[in-house]
Amino acid sequence: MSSTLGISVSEENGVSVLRLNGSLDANTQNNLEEKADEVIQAGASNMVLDLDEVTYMGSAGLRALHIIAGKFGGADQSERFAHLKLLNPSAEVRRVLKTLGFDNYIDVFDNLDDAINSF
Amino acid sequence: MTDAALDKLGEIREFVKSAAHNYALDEVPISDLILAVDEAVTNTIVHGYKGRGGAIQVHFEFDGAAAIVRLRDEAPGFDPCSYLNMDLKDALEKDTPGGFGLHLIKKSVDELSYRIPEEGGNELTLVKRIA
Repeated sequence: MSSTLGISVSEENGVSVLRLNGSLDANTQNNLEEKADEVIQAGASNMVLDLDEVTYMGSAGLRALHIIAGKFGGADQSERFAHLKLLNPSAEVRRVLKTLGFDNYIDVFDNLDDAINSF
Repeated sequence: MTDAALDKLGEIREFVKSAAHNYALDEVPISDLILAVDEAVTNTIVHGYKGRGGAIQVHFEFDGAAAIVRLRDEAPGFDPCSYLNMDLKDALEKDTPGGFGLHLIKKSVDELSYRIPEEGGNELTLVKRIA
């Protein structure tokens, strides 16, 4: 259960897909925010975070999601989170999302095509 | 005993996981306990020691019915139990929401208690019942 986070970026049908592997905690939160910011500054208007290989996510990870969604702009949280989707979080990560109410704002998918087509 | 530094969070989570594994405890409640420990330690590092480092002790025990983690540090006094439950919806609408860590701690364990040791600092006890 190391505290490192790997991030790879690809574009699929005009959607930026960030594949994460490792832990998303207070030590690695900035890594994700910086990479997401880089991708958004480069012109991304929609983003999928592939969490299939995320072994741990705490509140720092959810703060990162909140900050990334905010970078897309929008009048309210629903509008901002419309540009950010999650893919294949583990059962543990899903529990954290639910405990903090993020499941009311952010869509979660089990299939990349469905996530991309949802925009 | 370990350094209170963010790059130690993974080690601390692994310590609790390994300790629980020695008792063959159910993974689901242990993952909740690990989450709470991580959040509490992060608060100590960021808010207690204000990122300047310090020491933190992590003690694990299993009493037959519950996994118990005791965290002890030398930071200024902070009692997380005294904080009221947050309004999640209200927090999420803010540009910079806070309090998520405390909320997760409270929702992830069955009992949470705080005391100030004689020598000062903080001692937080997190209890997770194992079915």
